Amino acid sequence: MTAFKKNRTVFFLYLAEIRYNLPAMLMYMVIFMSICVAISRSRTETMQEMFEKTAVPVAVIDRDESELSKGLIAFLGQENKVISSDGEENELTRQLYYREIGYVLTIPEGFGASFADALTGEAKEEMSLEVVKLPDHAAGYYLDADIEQFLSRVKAYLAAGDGLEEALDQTLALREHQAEVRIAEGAYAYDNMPRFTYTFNYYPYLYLSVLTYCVGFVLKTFREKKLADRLNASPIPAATRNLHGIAAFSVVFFVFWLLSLLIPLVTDGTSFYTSPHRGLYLINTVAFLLVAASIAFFIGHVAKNEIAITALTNVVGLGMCFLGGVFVPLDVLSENVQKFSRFLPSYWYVRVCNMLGMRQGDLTAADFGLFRESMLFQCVFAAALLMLTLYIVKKRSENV
Amino acid sequence: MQSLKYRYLQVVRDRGNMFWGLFYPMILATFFFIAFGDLGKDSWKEIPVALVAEEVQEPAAMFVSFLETMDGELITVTNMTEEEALAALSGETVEGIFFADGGDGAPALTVGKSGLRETMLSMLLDAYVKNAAMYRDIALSHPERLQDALSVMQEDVSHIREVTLGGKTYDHVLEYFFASIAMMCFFGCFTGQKLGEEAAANVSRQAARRSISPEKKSLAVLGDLTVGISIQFASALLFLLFLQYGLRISLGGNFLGMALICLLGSMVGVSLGMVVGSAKIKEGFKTAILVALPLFLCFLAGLMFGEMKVLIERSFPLLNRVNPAALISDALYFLNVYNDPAGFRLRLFLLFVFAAVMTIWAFVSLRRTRYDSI
Repeated sequence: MTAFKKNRTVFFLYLAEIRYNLPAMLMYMVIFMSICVAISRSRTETMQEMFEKTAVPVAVIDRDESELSKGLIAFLGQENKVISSDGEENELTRQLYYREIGYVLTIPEGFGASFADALTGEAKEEMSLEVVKLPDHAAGYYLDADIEQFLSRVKAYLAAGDGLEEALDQTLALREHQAEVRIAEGAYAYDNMPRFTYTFNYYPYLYLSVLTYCVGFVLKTFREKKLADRLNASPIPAATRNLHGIAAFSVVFFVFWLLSLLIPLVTDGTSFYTSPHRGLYLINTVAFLLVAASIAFFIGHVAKNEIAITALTNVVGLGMCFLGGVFVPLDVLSENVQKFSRFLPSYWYVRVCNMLGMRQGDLTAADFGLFRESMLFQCVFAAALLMLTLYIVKKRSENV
Repeated sequence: MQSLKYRYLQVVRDRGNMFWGLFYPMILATFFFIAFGDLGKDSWKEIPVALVAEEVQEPAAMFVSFLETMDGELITVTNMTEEEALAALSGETVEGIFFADGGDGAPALTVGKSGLRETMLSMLLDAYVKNAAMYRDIALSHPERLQDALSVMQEDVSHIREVTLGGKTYDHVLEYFFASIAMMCFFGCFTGQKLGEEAAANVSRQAARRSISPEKKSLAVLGDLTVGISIQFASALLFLLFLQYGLRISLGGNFLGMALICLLGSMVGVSLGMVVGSAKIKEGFKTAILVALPLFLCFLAGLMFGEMKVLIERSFPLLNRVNPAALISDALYFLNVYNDPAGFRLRLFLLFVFAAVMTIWAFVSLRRTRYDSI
């Protein structure tokens, strides 16, 4: 500390270089904060559709126009928005692409007759309905199950001796019998999650990108041969110089961290600032800020030019965020990917955010356990990477 | 020609640029592949559930029998007391608790969170409740035919066949790969920046030396553009081959069409780099523009969030027509998935206009430049 106070020249040199690069840094901050706001605002709307049974816009091409097909359409209309379609392929493709519809059902001509014949054993092969669904949304699979059950029940009523009209009416009336599903007290539920939690989920990408670009492009100046040689010839040891650099960057990181805390104001008004778990959110962001800072110093010291900094930042930032559940919910990733993700700090950060977002009441002992585990992992990761970076820098300066 | 050859050698010998320019998109695409490789594929694992059924009588006993038949198929059932079950749910060793008698003899389900597997459990219970109501109806109206109805329900018949429209896939995961191709093309801006700096005499010493050579300036600039675009184009083609044959991603069969899109994308990327590289602006800011602008455009085209482009199309479609990254991604989608030649031609035309404007801008800004002093 005393050495630091006596030799603040390098600290101010770093600050001067940071000031020189300030317009570029501000540009990075503005752009990545805009990305963060844009994603978190749009993601809230699509998250629930990925897991839960929500109403789906269904395009129906009814080539049969039988009593059964009309009954099936009425059944789909009970919980979904049914859009009649003439089956024009390009139009359907466009609607699927822009998510105007989420499911296409084609009822082939003769389906009703084939269905009745199958019951009497007259049909050699029962006709099938043709469906097109979006592969990355569960709603299509739920609809498949609903349609299968509807047709099986109609068949059961017919087998019991009812006429088709009566069988359809009775099957449609079964809607009033709903299963009793309770959510356990203090449960995790996506529908409980406040919008600002989605915003916080994107902070890993924001922090990693901004910090790495800022540090990378400033450190590039210090690696220029003449300046590096002059610094190496100075009586200030490499370790002290690095500490001065870290201290100077810490000022920027702190200001940036404060600025980043204004983002929830844009995406969700003041609700974050009055939420009961705000302190834990802040601790979580600080832990990930340390992770991002350690990665930024590492890349800043190993990347030799602009293209390497950009490539490494994108590879590490996007890779860690995709595999850690920042951009894509962890639940939709395969089990093997999730096993690997446990070694990524972004995974732990996101788990804590989701836990805090879904837990509206008091936290349980298990929640605090997850929080402690997550903080420990992130801090150990940051410390280990920082040590490795300082070691690399020391070795490099010895080799000059 | 000799000058062109040496410019090629100069760019290719910059190993850092070449390595990252080529391998960075490949690493990124591999991450996408790892993250999304199993998305939409059947990898179902049985859901562990607790069954609370203490001293149950009919009709709750029927539900216990039903769950026993499902044990090992969709779910794995463990009998527990209510306290044990709640503790297991809280400790996440089970994902739901079925109560054989959740009140009035009707079964109930308690889940610990909302999600894919919890929805499956709720659908399972819902199917049971509706089927039980149906059997009650039939037992009242046609008791003699109840067995027939039961037999029909036990038949393993599928009424649904999954098809695709025109044999195409609508997998939005492809959006990420298409956006990464756009990113690859834009990465040419770093090669462009280097060429631009080496062509503007007021920016670099090398350019100052080149400017006093007898070589015609316009020819030198044209040569630089040719070198940058052809190298970037070759890298983009290698990337396409890597996606198709390395990661085995089904991008579509029209390789020539994709190559044309990549050529136009490379022209946009390299010429953008040349324009910015030759401009007399602060070094750090120059790089910041070339880092942030393509990344932001690719974000709008779906690089970080696949549905971004779709959301923009719904609310502000003009943005997708003026964003070259979205034009590249859209053109690839229209070519390979969405079989609409008119839509493809429009996007290709807009991309061509963009590429032509950027290339002409780069050419005009560098040729015939004269300096009184540097």
